[in-house]
Amino acid sequence: MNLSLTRLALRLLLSLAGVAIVTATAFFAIPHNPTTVGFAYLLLVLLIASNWGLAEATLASIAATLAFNFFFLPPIGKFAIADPQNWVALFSFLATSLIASRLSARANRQALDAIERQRDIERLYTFSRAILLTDPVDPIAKQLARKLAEVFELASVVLFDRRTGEIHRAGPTDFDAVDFDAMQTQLRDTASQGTSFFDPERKRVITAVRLGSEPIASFALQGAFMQDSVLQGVSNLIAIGLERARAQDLAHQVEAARRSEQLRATLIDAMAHEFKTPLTSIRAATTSLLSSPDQPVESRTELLEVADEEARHLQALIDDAVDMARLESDHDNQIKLRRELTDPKELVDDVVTSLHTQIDNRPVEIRSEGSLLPLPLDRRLLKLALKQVLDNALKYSPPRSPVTVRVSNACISDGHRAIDFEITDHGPGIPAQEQGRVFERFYRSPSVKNQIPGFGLGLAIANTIVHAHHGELTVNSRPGETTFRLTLPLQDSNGARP
Amino acid sequence: MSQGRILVVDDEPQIRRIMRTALTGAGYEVDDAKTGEEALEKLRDYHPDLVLLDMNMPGMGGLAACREIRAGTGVGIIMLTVRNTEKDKVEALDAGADDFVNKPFSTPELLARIRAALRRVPISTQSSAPRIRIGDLVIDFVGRTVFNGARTSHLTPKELDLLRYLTSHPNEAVAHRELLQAVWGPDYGDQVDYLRVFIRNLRKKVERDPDRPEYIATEPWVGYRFNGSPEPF
Repeated sequence: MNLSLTRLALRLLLSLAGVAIVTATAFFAIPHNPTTVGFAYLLLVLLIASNWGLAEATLASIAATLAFNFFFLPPIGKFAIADPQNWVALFSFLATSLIASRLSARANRQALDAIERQRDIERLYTFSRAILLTDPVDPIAKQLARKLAEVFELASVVLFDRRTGEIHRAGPTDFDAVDFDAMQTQLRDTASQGTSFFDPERKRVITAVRLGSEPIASFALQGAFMQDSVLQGVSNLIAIGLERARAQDLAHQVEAARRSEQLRATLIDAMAHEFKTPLTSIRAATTSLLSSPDQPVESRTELLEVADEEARHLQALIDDAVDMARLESDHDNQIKLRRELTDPKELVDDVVTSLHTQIDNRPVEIRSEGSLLPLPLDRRLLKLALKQVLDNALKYSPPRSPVTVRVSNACISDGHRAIDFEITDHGPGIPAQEQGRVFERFYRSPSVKNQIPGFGLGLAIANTIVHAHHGELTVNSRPGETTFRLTLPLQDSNGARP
Repeated sequence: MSQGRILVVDDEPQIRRIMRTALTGAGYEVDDAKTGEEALEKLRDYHPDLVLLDMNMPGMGGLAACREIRAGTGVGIIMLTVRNTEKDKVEALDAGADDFVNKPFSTPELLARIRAALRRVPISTQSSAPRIRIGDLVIDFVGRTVFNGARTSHLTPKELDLLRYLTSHPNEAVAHRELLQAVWGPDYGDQVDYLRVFIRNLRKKVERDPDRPEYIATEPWVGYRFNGSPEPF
């Protein structure tokens, strides 16, 4: 306030000085007549009026009239007007100053308006960009409120998202609790009825955000005046931002549902294949026996043997499926283990026998080192884990290459004893960058995905089981040799170390 | 006395065992292969009359193996698969299989399908000529080839049988059912989709423009008709 007063005083002084300079220049320096001097004064008044304002111009025109009268109009040296023409000069100075200052004031105001509008548009633009660049982690409404306060330099912004029912606050100023409660109610009303409140006393406006005709949110702004059109623009942008986030959410949900559906279909397909294979052998054998009962004894025995073996295979598949369901329903490490004393060597023999179909005459060497004590394990689960790892080794190495299963005593870091199961194959190996991922569920290496059937569950299952035993499953791989190691600490059946 | 030679291709050893026993018991000579690659190798020396081919195998897989076998020979092919969707059937037939059996199957059914695949259409008097021509089209029943005026193609046994049956009833609408039973045997008759795939493949070899067939015309809702008068050549 003081500043503008000082500025006005300075301008008034400068206006007077301007008149004095014109007067002095005309009086002493240049040969003149009253007409030229009159024009010079007029020019000065015009300049002052167009650049500064009415007050400065009026003062200048009065001063100019007086100076003109005193110095240049006869009788010179006296404030008297002999000729009525002089009145004309005086009024023309005054009229010029009035008209010119009004014109310039209007132009100035328009320029200021234009600048203000440009700023509004710039802010709307910044805000719209901010909407596009939202971070998917935070709720969108929260980000919108924060951005709105920041971009429009508002003291406070409160945004109510009707869909989630959440209220988000932003801006440097806080409300007292009572005021805020009242505002919450107002925001909810606004969002459900689509009305607006304006409170000039507090410089506060509350307005609805509509999508089409339906209100989807509301917001309150405090601390700055915002033009209606800008307010409308902000409201539309918020509507777009919220709707965009909603559409994205929906798209993600649909995508997730589609993927899980796809996954389920793949799993069911794979399971069906797995179960139908032994069933095919059984059915082919039994129907063959039924349709031609008079086959030679050797044929009948062969068919019955296969049927019997495959029935057992089917039984094992069902057991595995039941165990996997057990893993599936429990969370990691919370699987209820049914521990029983198990001879590790026997366990390995058992696993190799159960995979004889997959082994199909391949050299599989079992090596047990040292005196191995029986240890409390969930025999079925651990058998399942070892089967997955061995099956993997068989699948991912050349058809006739050997596979080794090694059982040995080991030491783990804190001096406690452990037992190691190591399964080594001579396949192409797992690239270093994939070694960390092979235990992930459904992860399958892109290099084998289309050549070797499978669904990326085996190692994940094995890993879950080993962890449930407080053990560790690790991989060590280079081209030509891959070893998976299951390390199980020796524990008593309560899970405490002996 | 052998009924024919069959090559069983399946990655499941137990299925190979069963097939060997059951097919040998039914009077066939049997050899087997674990993969499509091995099957292609064996085909060179073994010369089977029929290949029983599993669809889902590691390595090149059943469909690719089927295509390769078909590209080189006219041997009968029956595909075995656990999946039973329209898409799988069409893919198998498109790859050149003569028939399609779902796992699990019963042995008598498989044997019937094998008999049908090995069955040949009895040669009637009109078409007993070893070669016939219809305009530019030349069909060589002995060499199992067809020349459509632009190029010569090999015919699979079933394609040859179809063509033989159609050309022996020239300018006459042959019903789907009649055609199926004549070529595949009395158990067939409803598998019109089979027939459609075979006719499509046949047109690719016989017609200059398979989309506007000149010789093998469709009789809507009835069946197919062979246009033209075959002459011995």
